[in-house]
Amino acid sequence: MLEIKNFSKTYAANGACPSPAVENVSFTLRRGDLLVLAGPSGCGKSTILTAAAGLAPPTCGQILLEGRPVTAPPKEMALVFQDYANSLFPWRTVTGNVLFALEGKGLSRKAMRDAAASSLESVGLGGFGDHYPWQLSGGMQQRAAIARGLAYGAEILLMDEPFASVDAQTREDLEDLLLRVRERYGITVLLVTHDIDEAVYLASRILVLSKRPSTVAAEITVDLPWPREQVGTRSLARFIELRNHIHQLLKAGAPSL
Amino acid sequence: MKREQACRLAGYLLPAAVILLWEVCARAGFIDLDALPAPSAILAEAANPGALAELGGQTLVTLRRILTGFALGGAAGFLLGFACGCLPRLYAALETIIEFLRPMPSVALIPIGILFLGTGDALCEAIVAFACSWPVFISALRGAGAAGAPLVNTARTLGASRARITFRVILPAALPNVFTGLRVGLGVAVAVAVITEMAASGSGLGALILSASLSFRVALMYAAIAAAGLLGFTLNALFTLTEDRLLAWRHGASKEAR
Amino acid sequence: MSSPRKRSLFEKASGPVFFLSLPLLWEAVSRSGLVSKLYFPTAADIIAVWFSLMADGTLPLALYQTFSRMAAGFFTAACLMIPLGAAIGLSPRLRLLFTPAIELLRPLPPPAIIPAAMLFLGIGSSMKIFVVFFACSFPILINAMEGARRVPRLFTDTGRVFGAGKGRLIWRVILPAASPRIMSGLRVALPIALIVAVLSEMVGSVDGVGHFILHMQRVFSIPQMYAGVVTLGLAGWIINALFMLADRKLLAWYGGWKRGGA
Repeated sequence: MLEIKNFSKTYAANGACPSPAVENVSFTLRRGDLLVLAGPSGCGKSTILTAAAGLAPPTCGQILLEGRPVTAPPKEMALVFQDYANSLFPWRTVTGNVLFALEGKGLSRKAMRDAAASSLESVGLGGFGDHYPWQLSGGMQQRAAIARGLAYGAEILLMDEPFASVDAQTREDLEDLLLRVRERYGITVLLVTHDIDEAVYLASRILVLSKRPSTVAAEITVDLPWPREQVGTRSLARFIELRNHIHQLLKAGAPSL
Repeated sequence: MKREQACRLAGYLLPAAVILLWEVCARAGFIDLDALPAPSAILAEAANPGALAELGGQTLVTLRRILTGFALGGAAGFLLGFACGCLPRLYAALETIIEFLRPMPSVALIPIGILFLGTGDALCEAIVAFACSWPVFISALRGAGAAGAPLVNTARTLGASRARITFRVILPAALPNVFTGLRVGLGVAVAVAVITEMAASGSGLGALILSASLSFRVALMYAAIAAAGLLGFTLNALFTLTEDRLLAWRHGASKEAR
Repeated sequence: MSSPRKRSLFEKASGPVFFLSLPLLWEAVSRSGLVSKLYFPTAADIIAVWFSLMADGTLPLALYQTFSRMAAGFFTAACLMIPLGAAIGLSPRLRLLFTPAIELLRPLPPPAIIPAAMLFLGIGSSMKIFVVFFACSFPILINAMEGARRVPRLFTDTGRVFGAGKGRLIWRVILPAASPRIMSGLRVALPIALIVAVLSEMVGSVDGVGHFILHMQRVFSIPQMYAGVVTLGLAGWIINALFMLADRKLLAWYGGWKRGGA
């Protein structure tokens, strides 16, 4: 349903030589996918995601949603950023932030409130609607950001390193939360991470990107059984095999010291 | 890129265009020359030796008052602010008085000042000092907290004495804040010097602006207003230059932080 | 602000105690004869005069005149300069276009234009309103500009991702995000407004508190003059306190966010 075709992005820094960040990346996100873009830090994963969300056009190539080119943020997609402190509006309560996603839809006040409450409920933030985001822990803020994406009614959830800024325990909780809501709402997810374990644990497919300028190094179908489970899944021989395989791929792409 | 340059150029041309339009309107008789003479007439007035001497002389008078008042007020504001920042008990004792005096419009003090100090330099300097001490006070007060507990505690574990911590850790960390306050204070000093001269003095740029207006030497008045603007601009530019030299370390630090 | 810590009784009590001892100190100095009594009337005299001036309506009328001019100039400046500043802050092209003009006018001490304004507008209220407007414009404009320019990219991106069009983006995202900076511009402008209103009354007027104070000094009604100064001090303090109250209400989120985000 989302097609990235020959995507390239070049940043022209003032004065400096323009340097390509992403070169000729193509892939397709199919309905129901949980596709993970994995790659080293600074390889341009986020660039691809930002472009897919319609926030910044690619230098070359095309982004097609159901065959139509994406030029502005489409209503079928919601984005969850890594930096929750600056993507949840601090002047709005948690409910207010979720309501923001509903305000353009022409619903009645009551319907909006109900929808916000139910999506907060589904991420386990039932009693926290009246708090301000900055009163909550990082993990809870990221839950609120996910709730906002769900309330928006997006079919595709784009996630940019969503769990990179929280501690390890919270991170596992959020990973499982994502898997749960994905199943419940039937949404398609495109997630960017530099954490190989996380990629393997979550993904139905993984796209391994090389170092800058990044290209697709490999596409891997993750054939681990569903539902995934933190301890069980991570101790499967297949899990370790996949993890090591990706590790090697990334290492091969890294410059030798 | 091209359009950006066009905008930049247009930006520089905008004031020039306004002045040109003003000149044309003045010559065509669209504006009342008794209220607003042509720019060329103002320039001619300013270039006239008699007027130039008067402008220069009064500018120096005002400059002297600004510098004296700023030095006194800046020093007082800094000392009091820094002391209050370091000694919470002192601040608690003085806070109410300070919070009452701070919003006091400095002009309201001019009539009192006249009683005790007359209408000369001392009045201007005192009012300027009072007015410009507040921004410096506030910034020094805040600045004293800028070092933060980790830095102060680090110094403490390294065995630094209280005095050493105050002058070697808290003071340097407070400087960027203090300088911001000083810069604001300098702007206040310029404005308040002109205010005091206007309300209560026979000399200085403020007095010249007012007396020129009342005696209908309108071109001289505008020249004096421009001189006041130029004075403010020059002082601010000199201050920025000094600040950049003295606090060069700060740029490195903020770049690292980014 | 520094972290909230427990304040001892000494800290809580000393401020008001010192403050209340000020009139007593004044009284002592006045009675001691160190300073001429003519210039330094007793606090009791000043307070008595203040009450009679309040009661006969002299000071309330003067205050009303000063305040209405101040408020008119201040609100006009706010209404025009916040949108203009936001527009300039948001558009790099407008910024390039207006920066030289702003930088050229900025160092001009606002009171310097009072005599020029008198030539155009006479010495009536319109002159004073204009001068207050002019003086307030720069801090408000510049802070609105900076506020709009520095709205974190992530806020606007988030707004766009969730389907906000231009209007919603401006009203629901950029304006709230820039509001702390806009408020600080207003906070800077407020005392300037009062000072310039009072000054313009001192320089060219027949009414208002500024004229009252200077006139009383000239006719040597010294207790009356002090009563006027005290009134202005109180007025300045009340305005400031009201503004801080509004500020704390409107920007309650800002303090929490800054503390939480750090």
